[in-house]
Amino acid sequence: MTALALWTWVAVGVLIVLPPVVFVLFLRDARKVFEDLTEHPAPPPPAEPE
Amino acid sequence: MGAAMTVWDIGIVLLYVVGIIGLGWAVSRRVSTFRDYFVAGGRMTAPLLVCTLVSTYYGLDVLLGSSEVAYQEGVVAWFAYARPYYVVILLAAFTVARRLRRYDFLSVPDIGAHFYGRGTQRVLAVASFLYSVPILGFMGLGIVLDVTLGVPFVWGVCLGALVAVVYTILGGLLADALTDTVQFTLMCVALGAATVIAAHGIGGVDVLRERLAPSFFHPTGTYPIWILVVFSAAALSALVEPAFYQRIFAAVSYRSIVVALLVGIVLWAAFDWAVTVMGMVARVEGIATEPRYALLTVAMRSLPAGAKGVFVASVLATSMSTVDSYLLISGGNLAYDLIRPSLRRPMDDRALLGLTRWMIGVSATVTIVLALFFQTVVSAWIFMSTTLVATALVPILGGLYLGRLATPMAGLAASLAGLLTALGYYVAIHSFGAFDPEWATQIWTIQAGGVEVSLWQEYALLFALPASFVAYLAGAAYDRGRQ
Repeated sequence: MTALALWTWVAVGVLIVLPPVVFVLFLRDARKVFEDLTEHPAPPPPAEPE
Repeated sequence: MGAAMTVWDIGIVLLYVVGIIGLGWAVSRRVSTFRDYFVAGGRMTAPLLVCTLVSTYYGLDVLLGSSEVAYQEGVVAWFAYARPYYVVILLAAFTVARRLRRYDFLSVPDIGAHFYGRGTQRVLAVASFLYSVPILGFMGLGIVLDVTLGVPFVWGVCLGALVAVVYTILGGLLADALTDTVQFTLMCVALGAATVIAAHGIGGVDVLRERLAPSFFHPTGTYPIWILVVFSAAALSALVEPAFYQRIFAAVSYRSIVVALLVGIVLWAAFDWAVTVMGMVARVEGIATEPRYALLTVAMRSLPAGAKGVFVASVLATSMSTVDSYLLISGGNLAYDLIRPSLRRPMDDRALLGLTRWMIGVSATVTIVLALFFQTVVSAWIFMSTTLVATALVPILGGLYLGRLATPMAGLAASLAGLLTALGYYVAIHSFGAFDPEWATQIWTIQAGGVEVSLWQEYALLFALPASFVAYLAGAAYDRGRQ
């Protein structure tokens, strides 16, 4: 296998395997963030500097 | 295999549109404060950051632009154009991101306000707004809907903009991140699959070696050295990128930023390489189209029914994920960075949230007008990124790392000098230069002491950045002299 073919397969592998793994981890965290948003709204931004 | 879409393909695209608007609506019911809306209340974990960073930073400019360079020049698209960004992002992860986490900033102009006062804040807000209005994204939506569904360009721009505006106004950064995640997964997997199918269609990747000229496989291609320097310098935009900064401010911890950026670099590198290969495949297939449409055309030709719909949805996703993020930032620049500080009375949180939503609508309207007005997209993008880097890089890094020199006049002088030098350079090149069809750019050729010097419009940063730095030192010296 040439370097060109090898790196293309590596890139395709990364694109097809890594995003679904991140997506599963994302779903786990998104639920916590949703609950936190409702229960603990963030404070307002700091006042303007003079 | 034809390029026409079936009912199934169109159904998949519609499902995607309904899905992202539904997500925006679901988030809007839970968001009640500006900080929750604009930076997700600082709750973004590494997986959320990976999705939103990768998809936001990679829009149609990369998808169509890099495949266009690969179609014309080969692997230089990856080595000279994309790779410097990975180095700068790595640098940003371990230096600027760590330093920024010490402060309570919500936007790039906030940094100017903190270190230098309101004057610099306003100049940075204008530069950030000019950079963030997603002209290219809107034009890309028009092009994609035209090529794939036959929707007239003007209607495509308005229709795509409407969808992006609705869910961004509803849910802010969290809706943006949630939709980015779906879009990110869709665009990566679809591009990976399309690359395999397209390469298989020409008899394998190694056929590229046999059918293309050797220069296609040279890491620097046939570009002049100064253009390669400008490509590398353009990567500095990662150090002042408003969307990048917004995600640093939105992160739950510094560790989550580093993890997200390291994973992101691996994904960006894979994405860029796949796009480069697709561009070269289009060249081998002899697709006689405008180079920037090469990737879309080769995908629509080689993919089976059903897969075309997924691919079109993923290309729309690539653009939507960029458009929504920058609409949010440009709306925030108007409401939070420009209007709020100009009011005599303090603005309460709920009013600020409402104003930001209105300003997103205003930004979208301005963008539609500009998208329909500009003809040369790439030139517009280079102009916008040059303006931002020239205006913001020196004051921001100066504020973060040159504590004693960070005086009000230093920040104001540096940002104004960078902005005005960049604008002046562009005016000069377009007044005295001419369009070069070979390189597809504006060039002003002058004779200096018997030597011929070619000034490309892309060189603006090489003049504006030193001017900004000198002005910074002069402004600091002026303030110290007055003390």
